[in-house]
This record gives sequence, C-alpha cells and structure tokens, in this order.
Amino acid sequence: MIQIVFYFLGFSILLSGILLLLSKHLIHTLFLSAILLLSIAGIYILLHADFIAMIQIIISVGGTLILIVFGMMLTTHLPYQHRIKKNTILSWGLFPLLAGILTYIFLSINWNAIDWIKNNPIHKNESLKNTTLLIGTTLIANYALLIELIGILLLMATVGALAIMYSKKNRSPL
Amino acid sequence: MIPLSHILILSCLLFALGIIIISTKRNAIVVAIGIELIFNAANLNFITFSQQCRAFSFYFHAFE
Repeated sequence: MIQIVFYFLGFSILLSGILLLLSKHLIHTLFLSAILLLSIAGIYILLHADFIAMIQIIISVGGTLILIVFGMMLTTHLPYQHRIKKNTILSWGLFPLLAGILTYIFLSINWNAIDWIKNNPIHKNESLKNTTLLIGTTLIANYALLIELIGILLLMATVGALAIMYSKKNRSPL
Repeated sequence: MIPLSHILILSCLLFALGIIIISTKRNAIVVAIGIELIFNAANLNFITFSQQCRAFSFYFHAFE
C-alpha cells in the first residue's frame, strides 16, 4: 500500500515537473509547482518526516507560492509569457546525462552491504514516532546559541535588504 | 518498504529538473521555483539517509 502511494506520488512529481519545464505560461507554472511541492510533502510524510512535511506545506506552498501568485496578480506589468534561453544544449544534454549516470550509480550500489543501513531499525519493524518533539528539544537544548546566531543573521539580512532597497530610489525612511 | 535507491533516483531526477529549469527559463520567478526544486531534492536525500541511520534512532529513543 505504501509502495503504491509512493510510486503514485513519484509519478505525479515527475509529470508535473516535466510539464513545469515545458509550460510557457506563468500561471500554469505556479499551479504545477504547487502540485509538485504538495506531492513532495506527501513523500516526506511517507518517510516518517512529519515536521518537514508540515514546514513544506506551510512555508513553501502556503507562504512563498501564494505570495508569488498575489504579487503577480497585483503587478500586471509582469511578462506572463517567458521565452526560453539559448544555452539549450548545455541544459538538455548535460543534465539528463548527469541524471542518467547518477541513476545508474544508485541502481548498481548494493545498499544492504553497508553496515548502518543493514542494522537500521526499520528492517526490524521498530516503529518511528513523531519527530517534532525531538527537533524542538534538540534545537532548544543543544543548539540554542546557533539558533540565536541564525536569527540575528536573518534579521541583519532583512534590515540590510530594506536599507539597500530604499536607498536607491529615494531617501531612506529608516 | 520502499527501496532506498528508488527514493535517491527520484531526488536525483528532481535535482536535474531544477537545474534544467534554472538554466533554460528566463523569468526570475520560474528560476526561483527551480531553486526550490533543488532544495527539495537535497531535503529528500537528507530525510532518506536519516531514516536509514541507526544512531539517530538511538538518540530518538533516549528522548522518549
């Protein structure tokens, strides 16, 4: 059952990704990327990563994508039709080659011969519980200083971006 | 039980799709979506290998 759901989600990811690559209309691109990100969130849930799946749904789909859609609807001067760049040989030739080589490598490796994969608890039918409690306690208990430093860095980046944006056109309102 | 190589192949194809989208599209929004795809491919790899890791599970049971 889990395998059927996984292959269905993988098929929908690949289909919407290829359609996203081929579509030239911006609204189609946005809706296809919404389908794609939601399918990836489903695969995260299948892999017992519920926290990452929630983050994916809340931030990626609910935040960034809706923000892009509203920005596109409010600013009508954006070009809805976008053309394709000229370096097509590099992209259409080199990266499918890379993907094929990586696929061959992944298929040819005997994963069960590695020790820490052979001894993993999923093969012993131990159940995994939710990871949100673990992530919260670990971040606050062990990495509190790093979390604070990352917060200060993001605050500096936000203030710097605002200052740069306002100082080019008119006087700084800060 | 989903085999490990199939998840890795899926994330690899996702990465290649993101790279192709970045290098072919001209619009900045679509390029941002391609970067999003690459982030998701990296996340899928991290999650796959953390699911396979036993030390993580020991750490996990220590907290419960």
